[in-house]
Amino acid sequence: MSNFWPKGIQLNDTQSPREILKAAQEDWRLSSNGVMELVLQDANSKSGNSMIIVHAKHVASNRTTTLFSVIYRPNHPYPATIQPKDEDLPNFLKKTYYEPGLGGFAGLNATLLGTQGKKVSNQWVSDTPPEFRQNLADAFNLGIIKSEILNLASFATESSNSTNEESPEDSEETS
Amino acid sequence: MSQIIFWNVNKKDLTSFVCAIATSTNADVIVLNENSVSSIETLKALQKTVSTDFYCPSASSEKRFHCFCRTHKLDMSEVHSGSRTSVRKFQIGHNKALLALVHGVDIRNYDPETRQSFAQSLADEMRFVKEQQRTNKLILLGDFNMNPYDRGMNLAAGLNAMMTKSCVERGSRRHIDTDYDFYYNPMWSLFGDNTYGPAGTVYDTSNQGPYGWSMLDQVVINYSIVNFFNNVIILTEAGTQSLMNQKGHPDSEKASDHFPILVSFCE
Repeated sequence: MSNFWPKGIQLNDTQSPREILKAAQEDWRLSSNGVMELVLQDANSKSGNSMIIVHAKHVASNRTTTLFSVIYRPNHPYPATIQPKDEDLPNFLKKTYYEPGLGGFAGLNATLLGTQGKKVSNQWVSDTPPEFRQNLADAFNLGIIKSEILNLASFATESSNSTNEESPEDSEETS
Repeated sequence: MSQIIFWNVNKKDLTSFVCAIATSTNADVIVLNENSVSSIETLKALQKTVSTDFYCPSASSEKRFHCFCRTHKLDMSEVHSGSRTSVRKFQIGHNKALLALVHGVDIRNYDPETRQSFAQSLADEMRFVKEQQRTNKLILLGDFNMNPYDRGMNLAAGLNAMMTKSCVERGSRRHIDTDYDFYYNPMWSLFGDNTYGPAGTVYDTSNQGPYGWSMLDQVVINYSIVNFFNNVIILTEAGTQSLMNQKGHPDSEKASDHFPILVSFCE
């Protein structure tokens, strides 16, 4: 018997990226015992699309770091894409990286051999809520994101150990 | 008076120049961008040749900016890190302000639209930081890779940075139902050859520099703390050594293709 229902679509699962990020916020709060928070900031992408910028926050020190952005068209939650933070690391610190081919004659040789072109795919685009959940989980598990979270947490802990208790910030209004 | 030096050292080892500038200006804070020398090595040199008081304020990330401070009273600890920003606490007298260090996307690899888009993203990020830190006393300092007249620097939804102090007196302007804080950009005052010092911080006559001089290294100040701003100058000397070539341009062979800037604030 044929089944023409699209794979991966469940009509009882229509959560938008924002709703899934809200659930992620709750996961973070529970899993870190309130030490770390996810903060969602609404913005527009350079192409005018809707964007949610995701920041991590160390609650006790009120320090933050930007993790990545989620972009989708206004009023159309899917497809949505995650834009991870630039992995501004030297190659020796990356688990995987692309090594470009040699230039000059070797490059010419590569052209003749037909090995120069390569297909570029964007693993971060999601068409459905389950795909978005998976990509979101993958994004949180990127090496650079884990490093940023640990840097934020350890730096805040070191700071609080090495300095006296600070007086509360001025709670002046932002105008 | 608090004095801050910002210098894009163009991925070179300019430690001796940095130490000479620190000595001659007596600056409280030195921020180096694109420093190829480790911050530990630079700190050792500053401590050895300038003052043992120098230290590196705590920061979770030191990839883009190397920051050295001579006095703990300014704080300078990091409260936010973005991919091209590092926001520090900055104590001006009794005022708790924020100093955002910025390195904009470069002119060679990014077109003007992308750099304008960067400015808008930067403005969004700064609004987030101000909200989190509950203050609007924000100063941005760095190599923006834009000129003060570029759209990203003065669009309301960009950095909204204006030419004179009087331009920012009313605090904010409204654009499509949103109020945007004004920033004062004192770099406008340093353009051209009718002012003290060089006409910009970078000299380039290629396609990336149609005006010859560019003012890519800038400081912009939120309207709420304009009164604390004292002065900004472009430095052309490191102690007794010149940072200029014979034409008066940045000597990129001997030093950097950017001149450093020295910003001072009253307490």
